[in-house]
Amino acid sequence: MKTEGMKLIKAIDIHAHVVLGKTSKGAAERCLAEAVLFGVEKVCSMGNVTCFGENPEEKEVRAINDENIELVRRHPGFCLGFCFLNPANDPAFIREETDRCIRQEGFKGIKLWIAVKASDKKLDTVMEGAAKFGVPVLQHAWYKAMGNRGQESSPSDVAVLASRFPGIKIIMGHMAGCGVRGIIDIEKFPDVYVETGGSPPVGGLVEFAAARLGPERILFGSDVPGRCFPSQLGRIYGANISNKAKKRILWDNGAGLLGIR
Amino acid sequence: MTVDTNAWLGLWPFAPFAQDTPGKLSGYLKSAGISSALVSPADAVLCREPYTCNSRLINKLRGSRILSPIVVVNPLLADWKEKLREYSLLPAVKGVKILPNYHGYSLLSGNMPLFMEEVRKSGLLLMLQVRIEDSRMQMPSMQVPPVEAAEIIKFAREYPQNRIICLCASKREADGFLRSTRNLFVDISNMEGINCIPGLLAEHQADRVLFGSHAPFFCAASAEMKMLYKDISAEDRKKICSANISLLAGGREIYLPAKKKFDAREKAG
Repeated sequence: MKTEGMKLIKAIDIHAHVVLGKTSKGAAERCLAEAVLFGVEKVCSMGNVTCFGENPEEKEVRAINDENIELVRRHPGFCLGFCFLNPANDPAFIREETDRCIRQEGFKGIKLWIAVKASDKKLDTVMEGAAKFGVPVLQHAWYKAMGNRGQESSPSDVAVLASRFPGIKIIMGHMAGCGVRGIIDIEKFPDVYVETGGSPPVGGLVEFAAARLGPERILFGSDVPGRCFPSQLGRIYGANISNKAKKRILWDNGAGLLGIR
Repeated sequence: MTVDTNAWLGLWPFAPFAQDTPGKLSGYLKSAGISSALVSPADAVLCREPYTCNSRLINKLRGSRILSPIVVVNPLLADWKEKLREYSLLPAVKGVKILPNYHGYSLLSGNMPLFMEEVRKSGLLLMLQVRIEDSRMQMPSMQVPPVEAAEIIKFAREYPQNRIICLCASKREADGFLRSTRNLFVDISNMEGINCIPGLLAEHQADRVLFGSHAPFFCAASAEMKMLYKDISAEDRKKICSANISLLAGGREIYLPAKKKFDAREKAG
């Protein structure tokens, strides 16, 4: 059995890194080739966000975005950039970097990792930028068994952020890491979406999120290259939800959010 | 034809399974393209008395042509030898599973030599659960680490006559197991990373790689989709999906759906 023997549903991957950590030559292209093989037609690239640690300086943030800009330019229309920001950096730099990536380079969103908790007021400048350019903010979030790292956001932090900035689209990363409780945390905030990637393909969560939030608030994400496309797509393909809902999660919701026709 | 070497049925306190009956589980697996499955009792993981859970599973699966029991055995319990003999006499039971980190013993402990000898004599498959959940996603007050890869390798080397199926190993762990030993086998359920399965097969022969979903903890379709990599040859796919486990099971037939239905589905697929 090969992929051509299976009916694939076209997909937008809302959360990919394409390259992450120490990379080998050709790693990005291998990652993108796997996306194509499994029907992923658009890949949102967050950049190599881990390469300078948890709290990158301005020049490091710029370097991450430079590399991502280069990747997006190499694969126009296929790779969609997200601007990586550290809310702890100087607000003037955050504004400048947001403008550079989104207005000048056409990036489609903002990515936040673990430098500052989402509930912190340091996110104000980032959110102002998101509002100005009308782009979503993808915030990494987890409820970790051993406790989150210092400034790592929980879904509860994301809920605080959503309550402070109604109308701005927020994507809560790592649905399985957030778990049932995390989905409930953001349920009452209609501008918050959940993204499915970045953990083993835990069963039952897509169904739970679809029941509580509606399939219109779920986005397919893979978090590759730490993960693989078939594993991450499988949780949508195999979910006990309608085919229409699967199509929404895999393509329609992301296309609507990112303004893709 | 796909035989799932790593499926579960029963209660798990941290996440209720929708697939909580043999009918629901087999329907779910079939919808993911899985023909038959080796199923362990989830209740037995956190139970001091696993044999009740095994009995319940055996009874529930009686007559099933799709689901076959893999029983949980704890070598620390006084009657493990007696139980092992009892299970080996039941044709439906295909193997035993050990969970050292949940049941509180080391693979290198003194009671393992006799256990391994008896398992070998029994002809039952031996499955070692490396992990059940991602460590980050466990209940905070109930964290159970995976079995250490180095311990597993040392264990396997001490018992070269035993063939040991390691379930839910990561790609990196699997690579180490296959590289360092000749008697460790791995399932694909917890393997991730770009090109994970073809990458593994580029380094190792397919003879010790088995299809496993870890359903319903994990989505069965995720494992099935991993077999769609076009770089997996038809021969390797057959080995991983069915031939290897059939060989390992030896005389213990791994049940398959009625031939007529199976042929019809193969044609349709």
